[in-house]
Amino acid sequence: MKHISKEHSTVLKLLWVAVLVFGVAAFSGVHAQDGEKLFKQNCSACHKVDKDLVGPALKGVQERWAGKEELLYEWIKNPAKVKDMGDPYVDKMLAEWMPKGGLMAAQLVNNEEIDAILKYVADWQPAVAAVPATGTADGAAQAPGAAADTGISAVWLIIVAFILLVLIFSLVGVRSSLTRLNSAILDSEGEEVAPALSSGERFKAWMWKNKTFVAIISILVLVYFTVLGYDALMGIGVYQGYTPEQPIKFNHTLHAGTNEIACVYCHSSALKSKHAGIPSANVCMNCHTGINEGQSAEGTAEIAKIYDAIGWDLESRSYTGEEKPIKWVKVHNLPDLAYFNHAQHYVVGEIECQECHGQIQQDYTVAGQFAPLTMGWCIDCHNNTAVRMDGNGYYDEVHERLVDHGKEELKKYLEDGTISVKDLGGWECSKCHY
Amino acid sequence: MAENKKYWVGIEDLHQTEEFQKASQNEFAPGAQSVDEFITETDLSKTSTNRRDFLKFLGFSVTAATVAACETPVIHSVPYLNKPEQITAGIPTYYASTFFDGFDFASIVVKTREGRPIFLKGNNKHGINQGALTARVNSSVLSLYDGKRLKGPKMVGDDATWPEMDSALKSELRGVSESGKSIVLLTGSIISPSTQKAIKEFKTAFGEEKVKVVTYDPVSRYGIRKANEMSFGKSSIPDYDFSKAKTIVSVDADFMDNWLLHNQYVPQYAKNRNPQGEWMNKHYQFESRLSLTGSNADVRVPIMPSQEGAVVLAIYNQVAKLAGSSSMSGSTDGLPEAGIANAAKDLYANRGKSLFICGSNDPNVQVVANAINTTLGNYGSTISTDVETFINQGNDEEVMQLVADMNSGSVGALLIHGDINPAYSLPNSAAFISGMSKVGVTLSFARLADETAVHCKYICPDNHYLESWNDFYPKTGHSALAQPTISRLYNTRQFQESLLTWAGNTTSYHDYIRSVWQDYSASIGDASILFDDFWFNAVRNGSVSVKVPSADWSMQVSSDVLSSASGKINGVSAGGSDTFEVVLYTKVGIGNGSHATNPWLQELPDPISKITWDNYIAMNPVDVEAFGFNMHIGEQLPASLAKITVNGMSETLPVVAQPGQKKGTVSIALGYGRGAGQEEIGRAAYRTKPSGGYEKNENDLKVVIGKNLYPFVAVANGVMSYKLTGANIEAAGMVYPMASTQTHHTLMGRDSIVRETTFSTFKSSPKEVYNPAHKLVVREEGIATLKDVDDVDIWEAHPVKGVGHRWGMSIDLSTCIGCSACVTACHSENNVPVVGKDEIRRARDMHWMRIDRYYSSDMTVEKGAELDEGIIDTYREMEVPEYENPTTVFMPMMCQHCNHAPCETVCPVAATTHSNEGLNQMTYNRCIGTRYCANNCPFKVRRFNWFNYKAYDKFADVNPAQDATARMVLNPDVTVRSRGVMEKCSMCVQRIQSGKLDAKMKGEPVQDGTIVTACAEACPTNAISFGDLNDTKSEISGDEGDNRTYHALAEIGVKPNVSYKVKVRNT
Repeated sequence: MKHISKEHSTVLKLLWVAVLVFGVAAFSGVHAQDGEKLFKQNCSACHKVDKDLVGPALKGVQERWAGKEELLYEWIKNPAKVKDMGDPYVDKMLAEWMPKGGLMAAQLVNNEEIDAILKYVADWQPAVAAVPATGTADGAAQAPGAAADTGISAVWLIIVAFILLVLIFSLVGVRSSLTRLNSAILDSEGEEVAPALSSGERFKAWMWKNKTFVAIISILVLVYFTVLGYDALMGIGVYQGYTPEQPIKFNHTLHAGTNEIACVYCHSSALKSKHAGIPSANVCMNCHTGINEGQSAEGTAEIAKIYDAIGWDLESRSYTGEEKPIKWVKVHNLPDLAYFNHAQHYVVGEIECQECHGQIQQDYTVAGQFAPLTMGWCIDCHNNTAVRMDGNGYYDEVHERLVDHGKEELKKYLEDGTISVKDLGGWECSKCHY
Repeated sequence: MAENKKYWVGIEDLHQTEEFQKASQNEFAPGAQSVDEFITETDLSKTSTNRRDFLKFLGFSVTAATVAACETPVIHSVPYLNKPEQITAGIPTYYASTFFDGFDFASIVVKTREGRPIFLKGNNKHGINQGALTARVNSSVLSLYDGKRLKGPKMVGDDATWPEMDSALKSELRGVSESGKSIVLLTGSIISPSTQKAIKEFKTAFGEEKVKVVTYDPVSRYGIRKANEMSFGKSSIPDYDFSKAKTIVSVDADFMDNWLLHNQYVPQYAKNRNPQGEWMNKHYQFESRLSLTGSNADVRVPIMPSQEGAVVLAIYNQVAKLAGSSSMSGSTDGLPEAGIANAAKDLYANRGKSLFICGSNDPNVQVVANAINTTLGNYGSTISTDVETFINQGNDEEVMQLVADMNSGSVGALLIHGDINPAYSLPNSAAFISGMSKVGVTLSFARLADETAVHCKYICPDNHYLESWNDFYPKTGHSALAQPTISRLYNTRQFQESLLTWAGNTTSYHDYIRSVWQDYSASIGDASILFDDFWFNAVRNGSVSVKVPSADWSMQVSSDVLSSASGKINGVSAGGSDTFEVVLYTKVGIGNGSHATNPWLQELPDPISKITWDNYIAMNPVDVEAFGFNMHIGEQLPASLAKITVNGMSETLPVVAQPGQKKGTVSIALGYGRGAGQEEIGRAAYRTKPSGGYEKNENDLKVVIGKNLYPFVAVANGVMSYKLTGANIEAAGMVYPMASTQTHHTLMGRDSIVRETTFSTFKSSPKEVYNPAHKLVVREEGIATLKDVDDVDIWEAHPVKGVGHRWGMSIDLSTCIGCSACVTACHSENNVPVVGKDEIRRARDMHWMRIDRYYSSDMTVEKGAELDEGIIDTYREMEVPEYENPTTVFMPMMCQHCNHAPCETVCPVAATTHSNEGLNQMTYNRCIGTRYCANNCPFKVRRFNWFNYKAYDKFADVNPAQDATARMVLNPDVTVRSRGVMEKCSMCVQRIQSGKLDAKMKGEPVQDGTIVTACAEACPTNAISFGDLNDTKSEISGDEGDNRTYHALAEIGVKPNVSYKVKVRNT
């Protein structure tokens, strides 16, 4: 009965969390949510609520600007104007912060939005209490539930299995009793008892009796194992789904999904080169100079790894010069004999990253290999994809030549009237192997 | 009529020896041991591996392989932390730079990938060489990654730090300077203004008169400078302009390979070898050995080395006679009078537009050469009086004096520049080495612990030139810059920085050069240009040329000087009648020996002899026969060894029968025999055993490659002489295996592959005369008709003509000089493995591109008519080629990318197929190694990977791909092939693909000239052009219809995409 009490406690916890979620949500109201969004959009690059960043911490901003609310609105909307107004607080603040981060940029917000932001700042609570207020709360709430689910089903499974076992034993017992009974009856009636057959002989006899059935089953089993074996052999060297552990647990879902950062912002080599490239740490620092905290303690720890690698001292906000290159694990390992060019596919072919890498902005936190990267997969796409010739002067020229001279000769390639990659030679060996 | 000539690739071919015939039938000889021999070998049963073991091993390896194949390999990838803006992984970056090692000068472009230089090409937009370079220059990228380079400074054999070195040397040098002894800086020719300034600072710091600079060229041209001093009172070398010369007469000057600024002369010369132009230059060459230059001459006249001066004098006398000036006395006994008269007549006819040059290092001969040019009025037109050439400043007399001073103990410190290696290359190197022990402070700046450095107390390794800033002033008005293309690989320091540090100047050499250039830019005075613009422009272009003010140089050779010179020439006598005369020369690949440890160059077949990995005695076949030496060289036919003794020195070398070598003379290459003292000068420096590992002699020492002939160099009248008389040659009674590619991949008597004609025929006759189309007899309905070979076809045409791209190549045989820069460029671009001497000997060379060199008799129908010989005699003489003077044709041969490729139809696995862009594709990962394709290739251009060259022990010391450092030179865009697959020229498909991609990204058609193959890029004469035949605007589409264009072996109807242009000689 221990089980149940444990279950009880889990359910109680679940309820407690749910109450908390609803409670905090109700308490926070709609304004704070808007304020949070506005804060993230407009302020978070330079400000934190509780800590100094490029600009000062915003906690207590209303107190600091008390009595000068209009000036505060004006300051946020047009700092350059307020700068020269000679307000002593503004002057003092500028003297302290201008050397570090320059003058604050004008923000495209109206007074209501500023109010919402200020309310968000005023109501803001440190991370522990704030957890339920953010999106992670759902995840946190779900996790214990999921654990409870598996616990229950496992118990049920054990119970069912136990019952089945009992059933089997009793049936076997019944059967052997019946057999003994039967032979006893026969024996008592003085009839001849059939000689006891060994189980192997009996099985043979059974097979002989059900020849067709056995044959079909054997064929099915053979086919099953052949397919299984073939698949296993074909899978050699195919690492679909390979998701190695990386030195930094980079969250694609967060960056490419939630924050909608374009893939080529970081993987900019894909615009020019055959490699999409692992972004250099200085690209990370474009944003993470400001954003030094993750949504969780784990996230913050991961961000700290970038700082450690590139030698960024968070306290002094400067580079120490101590650099430790990051040893990423390569996920997509095309064999050396195959040449693949990202720019060819992404820039010229206008293929979306997701076609080969999957919905990485939704499905993956750490990158894994989505496509099988087999040759069959490559040439399939080359067969089905029409070349995007519109607006590309290169293809105009090639196209013109096709029209001018050799349409007859080319007809055999162009049965369906569209020019696929294959029609232009995309199935030829030397397009990828040299 | 070219059609009637007989062509032969070598004496083996001419004589149709048994082995040659066998070899030509069996392109892929299985090697010394056949499978049958192996399995029937009795010793086999004694081996420890029995059948059961074999099965165990087999089972284990299959399991191991299966398990290994299932394991996910973990590959790490380490990106930049701070990525430089201009570097994108996967995209090459190009830097303009300059190569100069005292022997070759070339403005180059360095291709780097991910920060590693991987390919060098000539800079065809800027610089005096117009993009020309030699095989030595483009191979030098490999020397950057030489794993044996010194990793840091050394003090008395031990590793030291730079501060330690500096403090020790400062005090040592200070001590020497304060003592009565001198500090000598022994350098190669320094043409760098900044280096000169740094040396000046060094001199100032340690005493102006204490520090002496001695300039030494391993292969001296001191005679020219000395002659100019005698003639014109100025020790200088003028600038030659071959592009203006209508007649070029060269007496033993190998100006296509090693004479002065050869990289400038070659494109100038080639410019006027185009028969489509109004005129074509006419080139006479008088020489004893068949040099690269001589093999390209229109008229080649063999002479004895001892006759050199007499020939020059005779030409002078003839020219003077024509010009009406006084002639000098001189004997013409035994001289080739017709040749001399014709040359003089042509020179005079084109006076002011002709050029006479001479390769002799004898100042007296050069004085007469000057007199010829002054008489012809060539100064001011083909020879510049304003522009001076600053290379080859070596002063033989000072070098000899230095050796004497060292031995007398008056030298306190000797600092030796890294480009020179006097302990190896001085004729009196023994005296030099013993002198070094008498010098208190010896220091070398060598990058390797070479023959000189090992005798030095200190070694301050210099950076490689690809890691350095440098500047050059090769000739008046032209400055060039070298910039680093990679960070220093080892703890080395630039030579100039060392000098400056000891002189107390701690500026970085980059800043130092900048300041020198700042002064220079001010001195050439355009104040409107900001210096930064000037500087960055110079760095980007690699060079700056400014207009040169005219100099006042009196160009008259006084009759006193001339008569004294001619008197001395007349005093030269030949050796005894039973002795030989010797020519010491430098080879196209190895040069003066500084590149001897570069395996690409060792494996490069000599353009003339086709021999790799050795130097040898080249001898006329008639003399070879007289001695009874082996005439033929092949896999099973070794060369005879002979002992040559001259001036009391002797050396044993293999003998090679070399058509074109003057009878009674031999020639031997310098630059071999490096590392005789077991110095660590590079992995490829020593002979390897057929089974791998270094060959050891009886004293357990590594055996060097070839023999060092520098000690044979004679020093007479203060100058070094490379011509020797009175040599005795005797059989050494032994044989020696040689690796010659001469008879590999022969074309089995299909002479039609080469077509040539004369300039007059070309100008006066229709195409049918010199380039007739092949006609086939076709029998249709019982009637025999002649049909053009293009109209007879059993295959369906590939739909490539006029559709999409059709890549093609055109090779002009008229301008191809056989220099082989394309071969090494291909090697470098396509990761071609180096296989070593033993494999080459077995005809398993891997070069994707080879230069076929055909000899033929110099007898022609025209010449027969001229000599009034009967037609029968003329043809007979054509059949019996003259050993002393064959004409030579060079034909670059690589995959012809046939549209009806015979290789494609026989591949059982479709590993070689045709692309719709006209390429014959080779797919390594499909190939199962049947070699059917190679057997069916009429051009014999397919190469089979007999071994896993990148890992097999046998190639550990020759193939750079096996060296952890040298591997960095591999082109990441090209697969490194493994064992058991066929490979061949891909027409640099990786460049085609990337060129097309560039065009697609820009959204424009592929521009002609943006896609260039490595060989075309390397060609100094632009003999190779590449492009899209379907692009009507391309240069090559124009070539397609050219009168001179033909396809090799057109009669077999394979319809290649590579075409050749008929060679036109101006005879």
